[in-house]
Amino acid sequence: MTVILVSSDNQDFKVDKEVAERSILIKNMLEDVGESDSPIPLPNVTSAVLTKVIEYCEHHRNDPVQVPEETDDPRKRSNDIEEWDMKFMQVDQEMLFEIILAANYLDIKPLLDVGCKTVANIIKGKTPEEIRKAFNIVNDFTPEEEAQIKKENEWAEDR
Amino acid sequence: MDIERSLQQAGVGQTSTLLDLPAMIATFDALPSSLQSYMLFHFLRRSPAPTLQFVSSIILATMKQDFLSLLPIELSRNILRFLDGRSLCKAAQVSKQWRVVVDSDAHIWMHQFQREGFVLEEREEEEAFAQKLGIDGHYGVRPNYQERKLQAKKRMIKGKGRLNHAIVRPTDLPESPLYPNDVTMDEVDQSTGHHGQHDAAHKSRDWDSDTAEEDIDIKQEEEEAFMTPDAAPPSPTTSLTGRFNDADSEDEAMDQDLIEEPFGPMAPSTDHPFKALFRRHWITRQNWTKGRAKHIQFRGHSDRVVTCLQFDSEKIISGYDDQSIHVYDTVTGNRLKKLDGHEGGVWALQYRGNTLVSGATDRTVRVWDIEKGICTHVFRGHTSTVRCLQIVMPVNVNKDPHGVPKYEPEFPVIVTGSRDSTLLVWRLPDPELNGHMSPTDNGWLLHTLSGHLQSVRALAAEGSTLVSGSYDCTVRVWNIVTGTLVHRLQGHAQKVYSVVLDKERNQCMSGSMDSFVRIWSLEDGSCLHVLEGHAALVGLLGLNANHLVSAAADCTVRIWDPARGVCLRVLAAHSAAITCFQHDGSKVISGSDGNLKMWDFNTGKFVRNLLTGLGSVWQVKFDERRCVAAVQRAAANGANVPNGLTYFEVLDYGVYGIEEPFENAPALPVDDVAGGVGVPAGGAGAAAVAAGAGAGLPAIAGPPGQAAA
Repeated sequence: MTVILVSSDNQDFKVDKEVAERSILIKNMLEDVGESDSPIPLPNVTSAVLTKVIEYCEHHRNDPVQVPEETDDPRKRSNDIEEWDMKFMQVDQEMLFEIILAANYLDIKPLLDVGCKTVANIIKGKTPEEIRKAFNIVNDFTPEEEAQIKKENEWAEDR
Repeated sequence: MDIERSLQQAGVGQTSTLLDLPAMIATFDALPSSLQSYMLFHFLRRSPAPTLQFVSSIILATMKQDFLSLLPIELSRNILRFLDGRSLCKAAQVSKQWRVVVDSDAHIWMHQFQREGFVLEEREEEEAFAQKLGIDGHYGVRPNYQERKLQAKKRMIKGKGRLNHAIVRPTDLPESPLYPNDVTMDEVDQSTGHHGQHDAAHKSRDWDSDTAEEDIDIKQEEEEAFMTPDAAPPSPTTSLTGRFNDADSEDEAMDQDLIEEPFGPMAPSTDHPFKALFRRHWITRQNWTKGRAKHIQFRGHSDRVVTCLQFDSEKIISGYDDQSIHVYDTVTGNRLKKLDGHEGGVWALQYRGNTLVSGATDRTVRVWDIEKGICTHVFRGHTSTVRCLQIVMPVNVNKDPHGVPKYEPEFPVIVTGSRDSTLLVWRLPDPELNGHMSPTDNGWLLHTLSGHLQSVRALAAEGSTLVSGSYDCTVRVWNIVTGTLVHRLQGHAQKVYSVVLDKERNQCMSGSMDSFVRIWSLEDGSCLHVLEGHAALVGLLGLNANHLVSAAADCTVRIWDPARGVCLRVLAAHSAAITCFQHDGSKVISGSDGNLKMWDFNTGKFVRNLLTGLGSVWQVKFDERRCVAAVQRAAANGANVPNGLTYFEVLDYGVYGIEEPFENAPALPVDDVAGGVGVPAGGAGAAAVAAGAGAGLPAIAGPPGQAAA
């Protein structure tokens, strides 16, 4: 069984129901509507982003459903990203940004987490200046403020 | 105009070309995006390298995203939850916006706290809220207060125009990350990241101080009358919670009362104490690693042996072999109470809250009100020395977390083991409720557990399960709710000295004079593993999530994998029987031969001597912040105490970098960097312990760690 998803720029995407239901939003919509051939409009997702999201859902169509408790335990939280996902996430930051927003909107928790982990991994191990460079952020602290901010956070250094 | 000049320089100065430019752009704008891409492609193909570099730098920058500033706040937090503490602190320094996003969310820092395995001390969280503990002193700048202060300030500024800084605060962000005070650490587990539900609602009691401010506001009003407004008022959005640097006398009273000066010009970024709490525990752990401790030493009770010890951040309670129990102040070392009543040496004690339970050679079990320093109950029943005891708290045994809780035991009980070979189960009196009961009333006895043929040396209990080890070479498993024997575990060839209970895996472990450690199934009572390696009496056992630790009279401590029954590490640098030890996931601290040694739990390597040159180390206990040891030190100038005097040594790792600068920390003694075999320092004392161990650890060795679970 297939369903038709319609992106914000009015492109139709025909996908297996099983794939589409990786999105909890779509799954709930289908359950509410029942058996129906009418296309599902996704006004918050462009075709470019939807293509990526569907690619992800296709690959993960057989994954077991994630148990929320497991990932919310901070001790079990891991930054590991499996290889396929890592490659999948090798996109420019704008696309990464859009994927995170789309995963949140479509309620695809594993994709949201992979997106967030990818951003976290960019931040990890970098100095503030390196982080600014990585995200094109302007340092808006005055020298005095910078001294304060350093003092507030220097305890985390190895000393 | 720059473009015109460049065009002229390039020799394409025809006016028509120049006038065509807007038309070209309009044409481009009108094209469908596929054709736009096509045109750009051709433009780029025709462009020289510098132009391409210029275009590339623009494109790369615009493709970059300031995720934390642009994403909805809950998604930003989802990103931050994948970072470690150190990375979070780097991220907080990126920009003003990032600082607020990173610092303002209490949940992020609570998660970090748990992720690192830190444990709050009793009342630590409560006090942090009361003090408004912030990363830069106090975070105590609350919106409702701030607003009112601002009103007062604005009036002042109208007159003087001295607004120095106007800073956007968390309150200005979309979906205010303000953290409600009524969420506690305990609730983190349940709150699965849905922050929305925690919005709003501060507890009103936190603002009791508001009343005091009314006076100040009135005072400000009066002052205003003398001012002439001239400067423009600050923008209300940016200065809503802005900070003011002026410290004129009329402000000082208000500032001193309500906010302490932060490090610098920016307003505090937290409205919760969790980053500051995280910092405190982080630095404390660093201090353990680097050996930065404040050492306090104080005299114990004469030259008596400390047989049992338990402590927290306020008090150290120790039992002596001469009938007395002493309570000391953990911070100052002052003796707070001396609990008299026992008529023989105290052998075991444990406290919970304000209730202390002790057992002694006088065959009695006594219950004490610690604060009042009085004995509230005397339990008689044993016919010989009370050797070990434990307070057992009710555990919810209903596996369904949403179901009706079912507690086992139904109320707190005391289990005592004696040289009379029995174990007795008592109801734990609640001093608040039961203080008026006759102190000798024996209605407290619930069960007598008979079966062992000789002295009960060790016990461990959780929920309804009790495990006891005896000199009759057996380990027995009991149900303390029904008072019945569940299993009789037979296998040790000699006396059993120590037991631990692992409810998680439904196993128990026992250490014996036959030098073996055995792992038993609570399911069917079978012996799962016999751990071979020690060469002498295994007197002490300790257990944490994945590891079993044993200490023996053969001078070694061993770390085992209880699942596979194999020895992982041997800690060998002591030169006499181990008299006491404790471990956690990162370290082992052991006492023997006049030294207190610290080991790396994960490598088994000797890290450093925490104390050296002692006569004996009677007891050692540590928590996240302090290590407390009861020791014997040689008396100065040959005073008439052949065995030396009893001292308490407190190593406090929560001082430097927190209350005092790192620079004040004392340098480590030279021998701290040395590894390998330690040199026995207090010759006589060490020899005495070694001899004692060989003979079956008589008076010297304390009870195994189970008493202070």
